[in-house]
Amino acid sequence: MEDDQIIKLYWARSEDAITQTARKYGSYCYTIAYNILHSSEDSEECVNDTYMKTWSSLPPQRPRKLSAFLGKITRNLSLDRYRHYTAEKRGSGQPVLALEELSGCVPATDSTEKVLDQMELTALLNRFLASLSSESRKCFMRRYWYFSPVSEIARDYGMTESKVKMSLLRSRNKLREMMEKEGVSL
Amino acid sequence: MKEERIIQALGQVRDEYIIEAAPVRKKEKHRALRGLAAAFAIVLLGALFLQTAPGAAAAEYVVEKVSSLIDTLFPPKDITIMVEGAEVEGQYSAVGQEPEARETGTEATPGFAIYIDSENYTMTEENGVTIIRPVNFYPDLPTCGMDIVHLSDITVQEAAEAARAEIPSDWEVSETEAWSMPDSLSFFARSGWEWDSACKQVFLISDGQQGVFQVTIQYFFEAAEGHGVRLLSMLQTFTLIPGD
Repeated sequence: MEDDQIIKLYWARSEDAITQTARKYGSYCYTIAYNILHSSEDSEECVNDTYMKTWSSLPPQRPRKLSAFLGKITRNLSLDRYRHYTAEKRGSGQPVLALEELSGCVPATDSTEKVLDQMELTALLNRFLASLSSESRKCFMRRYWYFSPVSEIARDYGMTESKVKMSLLRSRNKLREMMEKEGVSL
Repeated sequence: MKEERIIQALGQVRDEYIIEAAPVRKKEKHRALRGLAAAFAIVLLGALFLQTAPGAAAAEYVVEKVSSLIDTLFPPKDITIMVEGAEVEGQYSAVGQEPEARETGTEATPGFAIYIDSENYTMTEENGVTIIRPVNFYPDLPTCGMDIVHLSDITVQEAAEAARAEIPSDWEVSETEAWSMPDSLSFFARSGWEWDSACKQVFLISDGQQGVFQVTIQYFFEAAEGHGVRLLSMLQTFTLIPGD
């Protein structure tokens, strides 16, 4: 079923909306949750919470891209749950590795630099992503948005793991340079 | 942690980047297995049926009808298209009209074949018009689909003028150049800019003899990136079957 039809079902308050969403995007949302949580049970709960949150958001919202809308909700819910577990010393999986990798992007602190708020940081990331080649951008997003393991990215894009790692390293360096050039800090 | 702010902010980047990197949906292996099982069951039942007298008689009829020109020349295939920034693979099968002989000594009417996404669309024929529509379409939504009709003894230019004359005068009409078939014309018309405004893309394609195939794709504005893209990608597979 097309996205616009599914959205129409949500607006009509038809419970079939959730069935159709699960059918079309269930595995997509589950993959996002599982990459973060590495637990089938937790991932299934996050995906179910995604459906409930979507149900309560549509209406009034009418997302232009349903997949991205659902993906963002799943990612946020999964990261929230991940943080909760980390606080209880139960954190594991790709986010730990992704955070370690991204620590190299953080510019050295300088009191004269402007500290970006969240919206400004997102705008900067949009500019950064636009500046990357399609292949580099996809690798970056797969690693730090979807938290996919490097081996999976390499398999899906027909690249070697070392080429993916090299692409990610270059992109991280480019992001750090961009922040330094614009005189901003986190 | 500062790096966690990057992870958080990255969560709100543009949808196009999220969709672009989304893992490609692979075709389910189970579907292929189910298909094989179903095919095996049909072969087994058919073999048993052919052992009977009526079965043998039916066999001749079936061989004659099933081995149609379109089935033979255009076997089913998988096609990958881009829908809303994501690659979507689908199973496509050919439908269309076979060339038809008129009277002895005259040219046969040309036919055509077109591949349709057989999981999401169906084809019917009504009064000589081939009608392709989405399956499970929500009834309250404006019509989406493709109509193909053959017009005899008319030029592409005349057919285009006639088709334009049928568009309501308050619609916005523009020429389109997205069609690569030789000796063809196309135009796009829309009723407005609302989410449910009607959009029509009309293609006039010479049949290579003395007629024209008129293809009309219609959808509503918000479905342009969905049904609009899918229907246009199907039209790209349109192939003339000469009458001679």
